[in-house]
Amino acid sequence: MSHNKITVNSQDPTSAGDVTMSVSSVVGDTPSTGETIVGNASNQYEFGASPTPPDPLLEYFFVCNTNLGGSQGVTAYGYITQYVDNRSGTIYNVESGIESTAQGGEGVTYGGGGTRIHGQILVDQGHYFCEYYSTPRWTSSAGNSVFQYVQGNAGTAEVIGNKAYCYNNSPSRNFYAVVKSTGTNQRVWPKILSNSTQTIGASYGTSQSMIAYKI
Amino acid sequence: MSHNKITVANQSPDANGNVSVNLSDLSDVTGTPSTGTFLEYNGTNFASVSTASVSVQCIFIGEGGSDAYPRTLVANEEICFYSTNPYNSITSATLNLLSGETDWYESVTLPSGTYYLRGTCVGDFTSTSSPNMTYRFHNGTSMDGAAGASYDSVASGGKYPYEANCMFTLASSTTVYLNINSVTSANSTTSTNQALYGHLYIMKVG
Repeated sequence: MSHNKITVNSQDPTSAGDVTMSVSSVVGDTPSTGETIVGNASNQYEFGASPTPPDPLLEYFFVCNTNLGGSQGVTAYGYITQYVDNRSGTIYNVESGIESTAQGGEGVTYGGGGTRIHGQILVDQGHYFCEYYSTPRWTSSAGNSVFQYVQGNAGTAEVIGNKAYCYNNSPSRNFYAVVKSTGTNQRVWPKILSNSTQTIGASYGTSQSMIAYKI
Repeated sequence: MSHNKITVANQSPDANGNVSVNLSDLSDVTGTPSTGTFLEYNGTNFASVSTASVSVQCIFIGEGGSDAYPRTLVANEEICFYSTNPYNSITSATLNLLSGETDWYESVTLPSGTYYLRGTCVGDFTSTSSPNMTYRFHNGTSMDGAAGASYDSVASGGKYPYEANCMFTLASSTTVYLNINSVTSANSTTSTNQALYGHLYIMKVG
C-alpha cells in the first residue's frame, strides 16, 4: 500500500490524510500586499499588480462648429453633406482612433480640404455609435432639412440610424447611428436627405457637433 | 490497490506520488491566462478577462424606417420604437416587441446595473396643443429623469419632439420603457414619423 505517499503540489497529507490547499499553493507564487491574480506571457497565473483599468471608450471623436465667418448656401450649390466647419476660433477636435475628412459623402471637398473641416468620419473594424447635434439655419423662415447618417463614399460599413427633421423655429434635432465596420478607413457621413435654403458655416449661436465612439 | 486511480482536479500523481495542481485546473476557473488578463468572478466561474475586451454596452433602436405607428397614443402606455435590425450589446438585456408586431419595440428588460437613457417620440395629433404629449422613462417602479415632449406632426410645420433622458440604477433585472405621461388630441390615424425620426438609446455605464 502506498497511497499515504500521495502529495498534492508537494504538500503532504496530515495524519488525518488531509492535504491543505491554499491559493498560493495552487498559483505557485507568493503574493505581496495589494496584488491580484493575473495572467502572464507563459499563459500561467501569478500574483501581480492589478491591470490598469481600461478607458471606457476605446476610440472617440468630437468636433464642433466655431466658424464665425461667412456661410455657404447648401441649396444653392447642391451640397448635401452636413459638415462641421471649425476653421475659425478655438479648435474643437478631440479624437483618438477615429478620424475625419473634409470631403463630403457626395465627393465635394469642403473648405479647401483643411483639417478643420469635417465632412465624413473614418472608422476601422468594430462597432461604433455616431451622434450629430444639428442646429442648422436657413435663409427663409420656412427653411427645413432632413438628416441621417449613411454609408460614405469609401468602404462598406453598415450604417443604421434614425432621421432628424429640423425646421426653422425648432432647428436643434439630433440623429444617431450604429456603424458596423469590418475594414479600415470606412467612411460614414451625415447626409442632407432633403433641404430648403439651409446655410452652413454657422456661428457659436447655432453651433453643431459631430461625435463618434467605439462601442 | 487503487492509489493509481486518484486524481485531483483531473491531474494524476507523478512517479513520486505528487499531484501537481494549478489554478487553471480548478473546476471553476475558465479561460486561458495571458499578459494583461486577470481573474474575475462572473457569477458562475472565475473567468480570465482581458482588459482589451472591455467595451461600451448599449442598445439603439431607430433606423429611419417607414412604417405607421402601431397604435393610438394613450397616457401611461409605452412608446414604441421601430427597427428591423436593432442593436443590442448589453449582456442579458432583451428587447420586447409590442404584441402582434415584428419590428416595433415597447420596452427593454435590463439586468442590474446603472444606465443612461435617451429617447424621443414623434406623435400624431389631430390639432396642436402645447405640448401635445410628454413622456418620461419608467424605471420599473416609477417615472424617472427629464421629460421629453412632442408638439405636433412633423409634416405640419409645427414644433418637434424633445428628448427624454435619465440615468438610473437597477438592483435586479427590470423592464423599462418610455412612458406617455400626458397626451392631447391623439390621432387614431398614425403616420410613419416615429419610424422615421424616433429613437431609443441606452448605455450601460456601471
